[in-house]
Amino acid sequence: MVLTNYLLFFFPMKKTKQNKINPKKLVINPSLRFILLSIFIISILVFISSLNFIQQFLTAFTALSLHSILNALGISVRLVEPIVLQLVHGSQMKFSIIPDCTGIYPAVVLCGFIFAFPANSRKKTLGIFGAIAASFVMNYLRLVSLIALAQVSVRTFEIAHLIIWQSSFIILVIAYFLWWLRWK
Amino acid sequence: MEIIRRLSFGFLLRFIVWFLLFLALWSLVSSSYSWFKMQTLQQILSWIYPTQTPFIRNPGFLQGFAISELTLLSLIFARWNKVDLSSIKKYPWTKVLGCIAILFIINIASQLMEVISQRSSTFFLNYAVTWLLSVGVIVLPFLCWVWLESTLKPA
Repeated sequence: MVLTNYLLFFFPMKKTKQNKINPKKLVINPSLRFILLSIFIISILVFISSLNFIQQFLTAFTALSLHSILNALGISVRLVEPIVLQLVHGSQMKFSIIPDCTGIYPAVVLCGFIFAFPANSRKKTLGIFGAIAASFVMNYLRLVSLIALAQVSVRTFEIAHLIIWQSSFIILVIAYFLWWLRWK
Repeated sequence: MEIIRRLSFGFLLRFIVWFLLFLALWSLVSSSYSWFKMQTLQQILSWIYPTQTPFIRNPGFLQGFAISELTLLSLIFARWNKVDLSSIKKYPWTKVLGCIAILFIINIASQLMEVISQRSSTFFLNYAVTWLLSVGVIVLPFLCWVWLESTLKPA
């Protein structure tokens, strides 16, 4: 109805029998609305997160915080460049932190889904904060476990990096979104 | 949208089980799939750059695991439990095949863009690659599934 009113406001028409607008025909299917709105919101958020200074900040922050976490856990690493970590012992492998390693993208996807889904603003706000926290916690778990694995075996690291953790992000997004939908 | 609201813990568990099962099965053919994708990309690149075709030396980045396609299939299979297994025949399987084909084409296109972006890096190309490879792998199968569910007639 609201959409029809807007359309009639901007494009006034003579209401004759032939061109009378049927309000039911103008209402967008809720699923289609969710799909289009989430794609639109995610596109904007990805655009913002693709800006150079944001990516530089996120990667540098992730590398620095990861360096502190790993050393606190007894896994010796050194920061050889602002975004490159190297294992001190074992394989002495180097890890370059790229934007995908910052955990920003699962958070972006969840924020897009939560924004696009019809719910009250309190539920949406809490959902978004929870999504960001869950995404970053999961990401640090991923990075710490991967680097701990790389210290033991490079081959195991590659398998875990490619299969296990990529899949776990998909499971996280779907599980969190479904939990948020049922949460009151 | 009602299907999304009615989803339960059981659905999530079934989704995870199906997803892990599909990944385990796919690992048997992942190297062949990666090789097939590399050949397809190489062919398309030879059409785009007929004189100086870039050669893909390291097919590792192609990732033989069809993650988005397997996610979609897992979401579809997770909707059935023992009780409503009979409705499996009524599911729009033709549309499912269409969605899988679209996801495959998008995957090939995004990896093609990734190769091209290494030659001529522009913001738009990098943005599109980021969208499709980092975000699209999660978003697209989920939205395909929402659309498939929305096309079903209520029981």
